[in-house]
Amino acid sequence: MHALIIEDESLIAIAIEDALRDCGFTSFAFAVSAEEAVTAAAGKCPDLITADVELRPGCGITAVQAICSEQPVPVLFITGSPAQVRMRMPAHTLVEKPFSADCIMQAIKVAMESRDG
Amino acid sequence: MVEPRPLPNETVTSLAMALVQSSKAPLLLLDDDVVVIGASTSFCNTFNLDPATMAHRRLADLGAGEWDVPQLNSLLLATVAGAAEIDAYEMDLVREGKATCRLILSAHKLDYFDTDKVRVVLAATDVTATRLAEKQKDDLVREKHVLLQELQHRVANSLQIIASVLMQSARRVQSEETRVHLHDAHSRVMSIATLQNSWRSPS
Repeated sequence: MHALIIEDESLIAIAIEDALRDCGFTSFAFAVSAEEAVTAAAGKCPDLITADVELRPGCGITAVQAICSEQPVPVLFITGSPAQVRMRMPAHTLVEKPFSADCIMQAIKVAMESRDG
Repeated sequence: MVEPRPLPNETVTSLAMALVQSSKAPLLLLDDDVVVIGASTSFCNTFNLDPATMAHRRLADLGAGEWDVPQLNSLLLATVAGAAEIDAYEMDLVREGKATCRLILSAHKLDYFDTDKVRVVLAATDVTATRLAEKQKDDLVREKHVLLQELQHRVANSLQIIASVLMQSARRVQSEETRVHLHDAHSRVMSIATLQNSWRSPS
């Protein structure tokens, strides 16, 4: 399974990668900006997107909306700005930073189930 | 009690003039044709008008015609006719070579017995500075909000980085004791994060 990690802090991206690997993901694409995220998703459609909201530059929510308008993909928001996600995309799974390994793995499962269900 | 006898028109006008002239607030005394009877010194100073040339001129002819605002004139004529009261009419005073002023005008017909001579007092308040201050305040509040959000974002990210590094180290170390210590440290960072989240502003 392939995941797109939209996160502008590389250490956090690695932590998310570790958690995804434990959940069975085998390939990863990384994006630090909204534009990179859209390009990466167009290159190889992910089975799951994890997205931060505040990027350099850009907004993770806008990037996710652009990607999902092409093809619906399960999304897990991992952010320190939860209010914006709750307002603009309330139906999506959300993990607040900082997260623990357990909590993010649980959220990945919930996001993947939302696709299957 | 004896009812006071109405004063002659000229006396009433003089009294009204004296009151208007002594006012600290910019005031104009107008007749039923919207012609200036008198102006307060503050009015002349505020709007750069020569007090000597004010009397017997139409409001529309004052200065370089900046007071010639058809809507204001209609409102004043309606006030003269007793059909309207101008309570807070906002207008921009546009003058050549000067910054545009935002004014709040109010006009009231002076009632004095049944005298047939109509007098209207027009008060002008320059709210340009107040409006600007309000806008600056709103901008500052918005900026504060943005800065606070940025700060919260950075704090959350920084705590996340520390927590992630500790977790990754815990995964990799061989010694069980060290792993327990690293897990402890990770839990402490997460406790700080819980506190930080509880301080977060609701927006």
